[in-house]
Amino acid sequence: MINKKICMLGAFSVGKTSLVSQYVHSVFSDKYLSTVGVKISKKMLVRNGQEISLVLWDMEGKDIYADINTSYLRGAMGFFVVADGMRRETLEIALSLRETVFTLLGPTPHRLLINKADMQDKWEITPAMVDTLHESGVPLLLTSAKTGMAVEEAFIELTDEMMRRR
Amino acid sequence: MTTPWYLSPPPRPKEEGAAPPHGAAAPRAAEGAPLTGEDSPPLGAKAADAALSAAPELSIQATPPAQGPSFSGQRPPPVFPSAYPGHHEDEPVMLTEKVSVLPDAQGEDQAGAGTGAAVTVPSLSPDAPAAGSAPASEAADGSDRAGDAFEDAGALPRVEAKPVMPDSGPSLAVAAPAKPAESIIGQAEEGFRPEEEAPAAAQIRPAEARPKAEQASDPKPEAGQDFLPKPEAEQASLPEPGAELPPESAAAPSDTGLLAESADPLPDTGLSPNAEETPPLEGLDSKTQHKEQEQSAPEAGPDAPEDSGDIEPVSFFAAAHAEQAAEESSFWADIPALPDNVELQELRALLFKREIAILEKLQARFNDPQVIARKVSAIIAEALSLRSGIDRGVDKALEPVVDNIVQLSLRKRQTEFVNALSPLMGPSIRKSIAESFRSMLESFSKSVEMAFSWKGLRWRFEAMRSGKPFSDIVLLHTLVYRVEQIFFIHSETGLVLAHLENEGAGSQDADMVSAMLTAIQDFVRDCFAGGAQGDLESLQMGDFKIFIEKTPTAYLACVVRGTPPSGFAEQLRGTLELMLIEYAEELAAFNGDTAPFASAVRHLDACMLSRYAQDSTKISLWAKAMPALALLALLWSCGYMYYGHTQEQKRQAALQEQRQAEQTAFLDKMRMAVKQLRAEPGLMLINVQERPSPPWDITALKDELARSPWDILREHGHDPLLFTFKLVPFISYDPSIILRRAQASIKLPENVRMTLDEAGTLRFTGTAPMAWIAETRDQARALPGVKHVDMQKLHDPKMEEIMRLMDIVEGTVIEFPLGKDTPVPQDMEKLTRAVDTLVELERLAKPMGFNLSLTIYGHADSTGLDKRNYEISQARTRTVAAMLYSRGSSLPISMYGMGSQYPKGGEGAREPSASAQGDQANRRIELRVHLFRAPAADVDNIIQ
Repeated sequence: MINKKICMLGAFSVGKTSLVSQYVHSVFSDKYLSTVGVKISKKMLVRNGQEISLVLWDMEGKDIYADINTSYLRGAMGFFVVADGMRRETLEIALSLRETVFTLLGPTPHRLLINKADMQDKWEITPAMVDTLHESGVPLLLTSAKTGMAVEEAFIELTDEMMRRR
Repeated sequence: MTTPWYLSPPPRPKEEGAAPPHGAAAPRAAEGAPLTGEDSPPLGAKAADAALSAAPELSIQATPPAQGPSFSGQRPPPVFPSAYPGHHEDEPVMLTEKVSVLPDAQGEDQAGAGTGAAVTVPSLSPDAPAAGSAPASEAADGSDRAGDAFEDAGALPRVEAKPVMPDSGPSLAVAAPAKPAESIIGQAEEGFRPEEEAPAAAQIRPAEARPKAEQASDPKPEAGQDFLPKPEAEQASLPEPGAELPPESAAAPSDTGLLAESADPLPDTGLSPNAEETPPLEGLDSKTQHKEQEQSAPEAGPDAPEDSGDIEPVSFFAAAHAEQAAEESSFWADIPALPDNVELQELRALLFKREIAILEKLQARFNDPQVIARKVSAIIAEALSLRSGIDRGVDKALEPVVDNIVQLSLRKRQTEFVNALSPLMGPSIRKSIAESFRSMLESFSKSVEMAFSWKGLRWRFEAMRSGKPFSDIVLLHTLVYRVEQIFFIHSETGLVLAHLENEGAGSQDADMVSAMLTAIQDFVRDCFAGGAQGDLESLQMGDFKIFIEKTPTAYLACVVRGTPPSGFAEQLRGTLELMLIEYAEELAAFNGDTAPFASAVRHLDACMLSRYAQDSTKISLWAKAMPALALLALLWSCGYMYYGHTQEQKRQAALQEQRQAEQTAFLDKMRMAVKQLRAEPGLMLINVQERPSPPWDITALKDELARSPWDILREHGHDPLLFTFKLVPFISYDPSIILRRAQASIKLPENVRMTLDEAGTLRFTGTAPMAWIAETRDQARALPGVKHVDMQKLHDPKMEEIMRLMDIVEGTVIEFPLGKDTPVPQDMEKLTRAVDTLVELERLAKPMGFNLSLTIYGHADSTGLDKRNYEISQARTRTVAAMLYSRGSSLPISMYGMGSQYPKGGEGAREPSASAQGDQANRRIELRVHLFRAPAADVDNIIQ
């Protein structure tokens, strides 16, 4: 069996926990519960006949008062940086977190998830910005933890990339 | 300037001044004394003067002026500081300080010190005047106290002298000591003055004092033995100071002289043998001596005691002084007094100039604490070891000191001590605690067993109370420890490499546990350790403890229930190290694949230890029965409680069930209603918003001919308010709605029934007027949803009547006699009837929109000429027509005379008939009725 440690990073209230619970339990709740410290979940999946266990470290959101706890990042084999499409600043935080991880761990498989795609009409992140990001080589997906849109794909893409890197 | 203390004049003056206990002057002198004494001979002289002059006034302490300008203030402190700095000058200062101390400490100890001081006084003899007086004071000390003091001081030689002193002392030198005594009192009253002044004096002294001191002292040694009687010396010395201050000195001597005289007896007393030493002592009154001692004591302990002396009036230091003083007194004990003869003194000074110098130097060195320290440091270790080889003296002496130091140090540097001690003590403390805990547990369980083996019972009680299963309690008590789970975890990623757990340990997913453990460690380190090195070593919750043996690559986390043996952690570490070596490569290359670590389980298995407490109890029959009985009672009460509990539970469950049932019923009802609504033709539910409670929102398409949903709900017995509706109109092709639509737009006559088949054919059955039928056919075809219209089974009864009547008419054949145009009589009736029928027919057809016309065909037989036949046939039609008209018919009638061309028998009948009968049948008319539709307008009018 292959175990993979994946970290969920991002500003607070962008939907990291919701993404995890949508992926792991197929459940979405409107209720906002702030994650303190780190919350760990596990998801088993099979890719190419290989059983893989993803250990998801759902880390507390970064806010202006506190940096993320980088010691939780140690040994991460892949990560998601999550932004909230409706708050542009979360994208900036997400990109800076991405850089942080790179300086700590070197190039690591990851995906930028711009979440809350179910409310795209209220987005502050414009399609143009998304295109720019895409062209600049940031691997990104527009997800919705609420509808489950692209959530499974995101995890599978990341898993496959991690497996290729072995 | 180092003035050897024994050379220093200070004590003298005091003594001199103090000496005269009787003299009224003494007090003053005393006041002056402390100052002068320390200062120098001149001062002493002054003091003496003062004493003299003041003698009568006794109590005049204010006299200070007499003591000279420098002392007048007596309190001037400023000098003091300057005095201190001087290394050697300290001594005098100290003296004064001691003086100040003394007043406070008036105890016998001080007396002892005093004696010591007294002894030292002689050493001060260098100051001629003082020298003389000092011995005297010592002599005075001869008093009991003095004796005691000597004893205390361990100055044995003195002791011998003392007995003598009491007798001789008093009279002898009293004069001198007396003053100091009073001066002391004065000081006591005045506080620190003396001290303060002293320094000044000390400074001044050296210069002046020396010479005099030398003068004075010189004679002493020389004359010492000869001039046992100190009084003389005193006398001699006194004058000297006096020399400086002539007037006073004169007076002083007189005093002293008196004293000396009184003292004289002493030497005579026959104490002379000892007197060499004692004389000085003898001269003192016990009182004076006491005071003197006080004064001199300070002098005696020049170095050490000063500070402490001021601060602590305690006996300890006083005792120390006493000891020193005693020593010194013993030192001086054998040294003869100075000669009182001036010449001799001078001679002495001349002869022993060098020795004196050497002595001074030696003394200085001896008094230099640094030098002493050096010397002592060289031998202190040996001395201590030597002494400790002999007895426990050193230990005893050091014990309190060490105690103090340790306490102080502990207070000040707790952390350092803790840090230093914890690594040493930690393990042993842990071990001993675990040990004692275990033994306590053992003894406890033993005592439990001993006492009627209530054990089982108690456990059951505990189980009942705590709500845990009995087996858990037993486990808790019998299980010393058990390793429940063990994780081998990759440090960096927190991913579990291998995991082993006991059956029923009921763990979470190992991956999640290990990740969380890792996160917790990170968390603790970040939050509390502040970047310090070290790791979380254990976590504890209730009976469970998690041991963590960590290295940077991987770590072991071990969940243990109970208290594992002390070596457990080491075993863990050993296992971990073994695994680190074995899996070094795999760990280095770890990328998430745990397959290479599958074999690690066997290492982990070695750590899955457990130990159960032994339960070897021998129970008596009664003891066996007891728990059983108790158990019964317990079971009963348990049962009772359980019953109550289950009842409650049942009630709760029932309530819950009821609630659930209600909810289910509600849902069922609502869904049923929805189903019924869906079943309704013409009503199309697009969306049903279900809720746990009413109302549900429904969006539906509704044909205008469909029934209202509220009606439907009501019809099925539902409350219409359970739903809210949003209805959108539409046209339904549902057959029943099509039919309903047809029914709505077509007004059916009474006897007509309308049906719709699946193919969309609208079928009419029954009877209806032709006109209606014709009109309805078109209308029906235009209805939405109707594909065909079938009216074949629709009848018009009037039409049928018309047809019947028409048949009657057309069936009427009227025969005529040969050659005649009037019918045979028997057919007249037929004709009449036909006419009547026609009239009826017309009456019927008119309202139905039909018009009638009649055609009459006349026939003749074949006999006769065709022409005739033709005519007769025509005539016959006319007859019938006339008859019709006559009957009131308005029918348009057409008449055709057919001749004999159409015999009744058909084509063949045209041949002349073979019989008369045949001819008769051919002489006839036939009627044909034509029915045709009237113009539409007419019909409309008719219908309406």
